[in-house]
Amino acid sequence: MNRAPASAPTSSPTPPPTPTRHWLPLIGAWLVVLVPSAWGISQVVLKSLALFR
Amino acid sequence: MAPLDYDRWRVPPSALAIHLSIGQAYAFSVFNLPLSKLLGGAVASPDDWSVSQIGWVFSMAIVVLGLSAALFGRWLERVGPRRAMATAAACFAGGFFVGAAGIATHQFWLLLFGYGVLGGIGLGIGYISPVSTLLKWFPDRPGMATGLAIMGFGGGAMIASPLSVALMAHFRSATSPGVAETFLTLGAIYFVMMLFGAFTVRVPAPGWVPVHARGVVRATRTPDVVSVSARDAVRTAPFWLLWIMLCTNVTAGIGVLGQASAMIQETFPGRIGVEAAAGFVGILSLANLCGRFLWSSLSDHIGRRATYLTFFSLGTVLYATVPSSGRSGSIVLFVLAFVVVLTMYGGAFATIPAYLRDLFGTQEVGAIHGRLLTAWSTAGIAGPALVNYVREYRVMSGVPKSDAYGVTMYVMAGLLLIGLGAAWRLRGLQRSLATVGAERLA
Repeated sequence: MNRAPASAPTSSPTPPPTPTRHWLPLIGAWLVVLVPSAWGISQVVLKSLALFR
Repeated sequence: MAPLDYDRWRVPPSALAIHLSIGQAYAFSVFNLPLSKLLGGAVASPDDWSVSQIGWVFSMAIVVLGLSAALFGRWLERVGPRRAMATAAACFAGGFFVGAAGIATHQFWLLLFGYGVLGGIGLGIGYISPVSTLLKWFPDRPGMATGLAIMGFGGGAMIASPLSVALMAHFRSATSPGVAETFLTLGAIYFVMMLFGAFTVRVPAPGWVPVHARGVVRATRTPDVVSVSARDAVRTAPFWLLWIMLCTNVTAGIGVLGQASAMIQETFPGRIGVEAAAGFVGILSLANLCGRFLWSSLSDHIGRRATYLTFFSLGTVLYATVPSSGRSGSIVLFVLAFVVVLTMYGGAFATIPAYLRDLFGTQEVGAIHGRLLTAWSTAGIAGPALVNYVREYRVMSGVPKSDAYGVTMYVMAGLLLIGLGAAWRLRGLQRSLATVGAERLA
């Protein structure tokens, strides 16, 4: 019968993987939505300035 | 399905891509005048569509949004966000293409079917498709996550409005205002943008929790309940109380948004011109946008119920004081009051998915959210109608235009009081729902 050596760890849980931050796809994805948003918001801000003139 | 080491911050851009696209709906009014002069050119001909007739296209889209969100909610939970987002992209872009055919051939029913029905289905499916996915990725900050996506819906109009004007100017010719070509271009742009969202979205693996919270997921203020199915949820009083809360808040806000330009000009005659009024509308849109993110994020800290109680109590006070600030001639007070009101209008939209998640769990939250959006459809018709008819009645009764909105504001304050009652009543029921959940778990 096979027996585990006394020094071997018993059932230690596998640590969960830590997220690897891949910056390029993360920044790319945010740029796709932030660039048009910034353009749209800047248009509205420019128009809103008329209220204070 | 995402691998266990997937970075959850890559999911909000997918949701934003969808909401920024479908948010175009709130910029539909830029087409009202050009569509009413398709045959006549510079001046509308008798055979041209009237502006009120064109208004039905937007109303139809909002009604179908609510209905399709309610109808397709369970299907969405079954097939997952990617297929739902791709379907929304096909319907929304298809709506533009069919609408363009209707404009080119001057057939109103085709425009109504294309943008109103087909596009409306795309709106409904698109609106709810990222919600439950975001709630699963951000169990520690559900309000912030859904607020981020729903903020996109507010931002969508800000992109679409100047973009549509620029495209119409580009395509305009001696014989055409360029609306059909603009519809085709917008359809293509939104199709690509929404497919970007569909291809980049991921659902978390079962049992996934945020890395910083492993072991102990930071508890929100509401106890976890077992997931309630959409069919069971609509049979509960809390669902209908939330429906009343959303409907009253949106009715009040949407009525103001639709009439903001005319309202400020008529309240301050001679002091506010057309350009300044457009600036006022722009500020309100920004307030609506910011409120979606700020209030929903705040709700993660102060609790959903406290957030809604603030909306309704502060909103009631502000609506009730607007007529006196108008009479006092203070433009600053008038603008400030509406800025706060509009942040709460957006905030109510953005916080509701997290509230649903607190009450009914995440399993069918998309479907339940879809059914709740029928409140928006109702408010989309009731809000503008209420403001218009009350104002018209007052003007016909001989009230000066500058005072015509006073009663409307009191009506809105009354509506918010009803919402306040519903939010108050929800407390006891929320407890009993949590108890039922705990019993089911036991």
